[in-house]
Amino acid sequence: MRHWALLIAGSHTWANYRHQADVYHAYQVGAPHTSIVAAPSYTLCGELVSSSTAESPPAERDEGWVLGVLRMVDVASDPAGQRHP
Amino acid sequence: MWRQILRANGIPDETIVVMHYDDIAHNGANPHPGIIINSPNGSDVYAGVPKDYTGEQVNVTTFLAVLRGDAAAVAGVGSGRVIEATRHDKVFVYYADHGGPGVLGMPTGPFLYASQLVGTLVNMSAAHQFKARPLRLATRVACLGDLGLFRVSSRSPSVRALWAHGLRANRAGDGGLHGSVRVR
Repeated sequence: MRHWALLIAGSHTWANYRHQADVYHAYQVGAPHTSIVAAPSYTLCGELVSSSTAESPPAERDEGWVLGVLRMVDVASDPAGQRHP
Repeated sequence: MWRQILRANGIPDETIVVMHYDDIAHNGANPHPGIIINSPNGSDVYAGVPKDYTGEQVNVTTFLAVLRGDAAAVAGVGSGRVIEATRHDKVFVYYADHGGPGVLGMPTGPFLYASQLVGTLVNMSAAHQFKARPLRLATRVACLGDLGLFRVSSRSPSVRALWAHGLRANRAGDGGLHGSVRVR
């Protein structure tokens, strides 16, 4: 089994700096030389972690990052899908 | 601790495809040409990033072709690389952008609509282009669970997402929904 990643920033211009920066950051933490899996970034922190947090933003972005990455790994390290029937 | 957990799950460069307009690093407004950071006083995140598809190559047609592994459709475009996943593989898509109900942005050309994305994913599932694996997650996309897909977004479809680094109350004025597609 292989893991694939498609990373895309869907905007341009300096005012949208953050979108491309997020994609670059995702690549950097997902690249093999740092040995860290692709980063879903803070976009994961809303509905996925808990429905109770879906309507409120995380206190800080890093919190969402960590929670999101942990959950992503939980999914990725469960090839049989047994924990997510 | 989470870094150690992640270490066993590294995605090699040859299975990563990156699409970005690439107008930031050497933008005239960049006080540090060639450097892009993603947190205050952070380190450079731009160096080494692949340029599979840049500029006007970042569009709906290219994105969907790459996603469904249609190398012929992107022959002569950018790196020409596509997601060549099989039924044994897992595919992670990260889409950073503005969006709204049923739509995601693109730097050039038309927007990406939910029907296009979902249609492509359904076809990929039928062609066994990724490992089908039902997931039960707290999302609003129950129909996709049967395909082994899951999608997450920063907000529910009806809520605006506002982000600023390290602030509890956002004042950045960004109404973008990062990666949210409404497909109910």
